[in-house]
Amino acid sequence: MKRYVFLFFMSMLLFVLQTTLFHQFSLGNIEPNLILILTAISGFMYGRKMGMFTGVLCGLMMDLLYSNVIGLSILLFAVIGYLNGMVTKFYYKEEIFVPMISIGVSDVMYGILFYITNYLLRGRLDFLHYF
Amino acid sequence: MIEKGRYVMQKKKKISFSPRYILMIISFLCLILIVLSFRFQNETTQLRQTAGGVIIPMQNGINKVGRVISKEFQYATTVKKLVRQNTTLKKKLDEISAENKLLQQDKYDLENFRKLYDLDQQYAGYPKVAARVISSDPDNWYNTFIIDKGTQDGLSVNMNVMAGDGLVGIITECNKSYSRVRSIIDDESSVTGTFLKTTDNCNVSGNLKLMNKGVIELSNIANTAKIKDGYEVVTSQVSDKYLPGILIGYARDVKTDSTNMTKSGYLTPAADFTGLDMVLVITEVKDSGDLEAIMK
Repeated sequence: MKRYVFLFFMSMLLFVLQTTLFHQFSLGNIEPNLILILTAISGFMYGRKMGMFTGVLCGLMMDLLYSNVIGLSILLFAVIGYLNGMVTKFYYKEEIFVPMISIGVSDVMYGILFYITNYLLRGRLDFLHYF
Repeated sequence: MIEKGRYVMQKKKKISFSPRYILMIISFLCLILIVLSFRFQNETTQLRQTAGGVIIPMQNGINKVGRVISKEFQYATTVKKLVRQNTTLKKKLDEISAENKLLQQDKYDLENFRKLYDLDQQYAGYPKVAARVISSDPDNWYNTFIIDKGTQDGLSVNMNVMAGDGLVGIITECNKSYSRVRSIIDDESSVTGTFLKTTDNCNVSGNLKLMNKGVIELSNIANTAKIKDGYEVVTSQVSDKYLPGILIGYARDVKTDSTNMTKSGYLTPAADFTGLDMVLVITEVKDSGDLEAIMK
């Protein structure tokens, strides 16, 4: 229960920070996608269920405030949370390598899924550019 | 026996679904949500408004704190620079005030000419409201941002937003105290424009691919049009949402398409999108009610 409350406030805080302050920290137009990282980490640390929970929260906020269709980001974030939950058995406190890879992979996957759902279906075929 | 009983109790308490099923349920619900929200786009505003009511004040607060900090920081580091600047500026001011007197005379003439040409209902005459950009989208895919004025300041959907002297975008969603603006560089945005010099129409559409180069797409120009680099593109009379005569940007590299029917090229926006802070909202909506009635 504690974890749910913690993740709830954490995702809200990170969402707000991401949309305001973190635009200042962008390097060459690329910003750290905090809420995605949170989703990946919570899935990785606490398992599939927690990952999905955070994913649904983050996706919901993103959909409600920034996209035209509600549900798409929820789905993407939930899937990413779930998939990260599947590697939770490799979780050790000292190990930093595995989470780094899993976050990287999640970010790439999120990009690809987002491209497929939002751009490919509108006939923008130049995959490599958006990548 | 007691041991066993306890075991059973514990097992009963922890009835839980496998995460796999939860994921399936979530995906299913999301699919329904996508379809529903796509179908009933107007009904979701209430939901968005509640979410905005929670998130927006927080964003506002953080922005305020950030502004104070950056102000203090800048104050400490730039005093020396300011002193140097001050002396040069004073010199400049003398030059400019002399120039200004000349210009004022010119302006008087210009006003007379404007009256002659009946041009004074151009966008100098549009009523405008200034607004501050609170936040922009969390990743690089969309290009929308949120401003801190809403219906209670007289804004409504489809109002045009400008920054400096160029068009920035259009309000796509208007709530009580904030509104969402889709910029013209957004991938889904498309504006009908006119070349000021040749009055040829064209289509200005945002493109994620070109955004990093600081340009957007310009297409559907008639092949007979003679366009040179640097020609101004303004919003067209034909457009159904954008008020006519607002500067969008300057044409670049216009070439004939492979179809030989149309020309296309690039457009450098007049507004600077990298550091958007204050924007002007034109509180006048283009009345295309008659047009819609005909189209129906």
